[in-house]
Amino acid sequence: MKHFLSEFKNAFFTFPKYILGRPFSGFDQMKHLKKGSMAFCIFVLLLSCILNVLEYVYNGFLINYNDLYQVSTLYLMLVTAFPVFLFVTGNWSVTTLLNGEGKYHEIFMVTMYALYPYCILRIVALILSNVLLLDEMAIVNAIRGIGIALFVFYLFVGLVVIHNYGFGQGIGMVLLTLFAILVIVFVLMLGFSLVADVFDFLRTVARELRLRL
Amino acid sequence: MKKIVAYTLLITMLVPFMLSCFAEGSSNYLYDSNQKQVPAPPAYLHERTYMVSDFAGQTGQSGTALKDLKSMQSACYKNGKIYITCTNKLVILSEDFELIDVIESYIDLGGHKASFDSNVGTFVTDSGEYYICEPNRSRILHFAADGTLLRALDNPGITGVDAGVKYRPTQLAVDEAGRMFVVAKGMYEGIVELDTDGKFVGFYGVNEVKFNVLDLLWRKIATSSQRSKQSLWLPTDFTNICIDSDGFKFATVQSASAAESVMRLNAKGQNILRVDEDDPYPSGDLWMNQVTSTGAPVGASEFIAVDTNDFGVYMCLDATRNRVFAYNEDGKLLFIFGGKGNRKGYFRGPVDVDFVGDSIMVLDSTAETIELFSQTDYGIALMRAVEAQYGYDYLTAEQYWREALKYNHNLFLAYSGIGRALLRRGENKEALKYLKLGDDRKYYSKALEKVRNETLKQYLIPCVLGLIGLVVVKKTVKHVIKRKKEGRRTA
Repeated sequence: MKHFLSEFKNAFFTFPKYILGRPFSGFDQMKHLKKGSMAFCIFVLLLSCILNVLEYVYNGFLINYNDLYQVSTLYLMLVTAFPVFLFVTGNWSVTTLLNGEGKYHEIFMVTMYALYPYCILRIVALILSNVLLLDEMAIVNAIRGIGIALFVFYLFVGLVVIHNYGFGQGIGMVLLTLFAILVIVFVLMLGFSLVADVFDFLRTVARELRLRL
Repeated sequence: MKKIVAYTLLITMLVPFMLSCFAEGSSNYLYDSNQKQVPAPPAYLHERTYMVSDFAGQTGQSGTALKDLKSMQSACYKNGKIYITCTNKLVILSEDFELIDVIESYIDLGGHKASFDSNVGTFVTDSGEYYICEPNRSRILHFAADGTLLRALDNPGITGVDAGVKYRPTQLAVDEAGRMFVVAKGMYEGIVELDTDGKFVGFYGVNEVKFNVLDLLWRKIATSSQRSKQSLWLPTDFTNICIDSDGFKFATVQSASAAESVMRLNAKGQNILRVDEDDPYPSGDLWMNQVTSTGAPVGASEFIAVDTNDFGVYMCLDATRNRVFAYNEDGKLLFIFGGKGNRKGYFRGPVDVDFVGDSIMVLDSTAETIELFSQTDYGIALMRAVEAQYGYDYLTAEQYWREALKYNHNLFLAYSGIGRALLRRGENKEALKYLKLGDDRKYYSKALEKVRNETLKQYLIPCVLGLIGLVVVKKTVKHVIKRKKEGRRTA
């Protein structure tokens, strides 16, 4: 029990805090000393999914313009999770071709470790948005803005470290990743529309048969 | 068994009546804060249709009877009289729609008898003098209250316009000082402002041409022959004008692309119409068909007439769907009625809309009728609440808002009105609830500030004291433990 608790403390508090303070060495340790915790990463992913729903519903009334009569929890969660996997897949497919040293699960973990400070700031902003006045909402926006900046920074540092890239290579990788994401989205759309066409065709055939018989 | 049959029959007979209380009225909806249509009870119901036959047997002061109501153009209600211009005559009715006079001819300045030619707009001053626009003769006629012609204002010498453009005044408004604001057909520069003598002062409330980057890019790419075939970029035409009780001019613009289709213009000609940051600009229908296969009207509302009342309510007549949209001084939608059709409460070709006391009058030029709408109980509560709120009488307003809420649970304005009244009374927590329901973020913020301060006052001092206490206790405990350890060591 005691061992589990100390393990838990290390995975959920000590190591994430260490990455926050010393990102380069932290991500390096994650890769080479296997210090990262997959459980923590999945927790962050779930947390941000749930946060997206919470923000939609419980964001302070003063800045919440959502139609609360139309909320789809599943949709809101997928909207968070899907881009993560899109990005990870895009980045993995690019870096595999370009001598990147990072593995798929490492890219995912880096993304999650980069995401968790943003998650914490989102919780803070969510609570603040309910007690602040209209004029003070700039604080909430600033907190969210800082969170996004942090996310981008840690993500970039983490990716550069696990792929063992330089700064210039890193920038190139990000641009290529964006391009890869576009390609993936295009292929997905193509696939979906083709599948839909096939189903449509089958349905038409079935209807014709039913009318004939 | 017989009883059951009887009851079933009774209920089935009652169903049409039950349905009819929903079907009564026309265009029974409002828009909620998410710009979605929500059902609303009618605020105004069709009361009566006046046709020529309703005035049969009545003769005016000058002895002429009303022969027809063909090609009505516009109406003006002042001092308990209704002035309606038809192309070739002026009809004056009393508030109760009794014929007062029909003027078909007048004595012109040369002393000859003359008849009207192409009347469009009319304006009646507080003293009963009236102005009539005659676009085909490029002039405005100014009559005294007794019907003698005082002035015929010809082309005022407009400068800065193509010489080929004919001056065709169609609508006008006259302010307290006697300055005239004339809407002229094809005058894209703006509203023509004339001084008390009828001299040209300048253009007023100029519409700016707006175009986006893409349009500009296409224009750059297009060859000159292509460009010549494209439509010209012209500012939109004003369609109607009226003066509100504060002396500001309300003007409408008929254009599907105009962002601001109704404006409230100050003395400088700037649009000062009040619209909340979160609200869409008052532009009639927010949800509309863009394409149709059934012949239903498509596209945005196009306003052709506007009228205001004493407490800041203005209503606009939409020529696309023949509906009337009324807003309060803050640009919040109050009610909608009308629509295209032949049925009671619908219009075929409306040209003007006016408040007649508490009622509303719509001129239907195609049907040659005057349609009168009167307030329902809901409408009375709604308008009284708006009136009280206009006069900053929040407590009276609250009472009427609560009454209006009984009829319409979708009335956001009522919730926010009650919330504001509660806030004024100091019931801040209750106010928060209502302001949230009313989607009134500005006042919600004010209420939240008060609630927050109350809560802080209540809990801040105990919290701080508790915290200090906690720290003190912690320090002492630490100190005591340290002492004990030292004690052990020394022992």
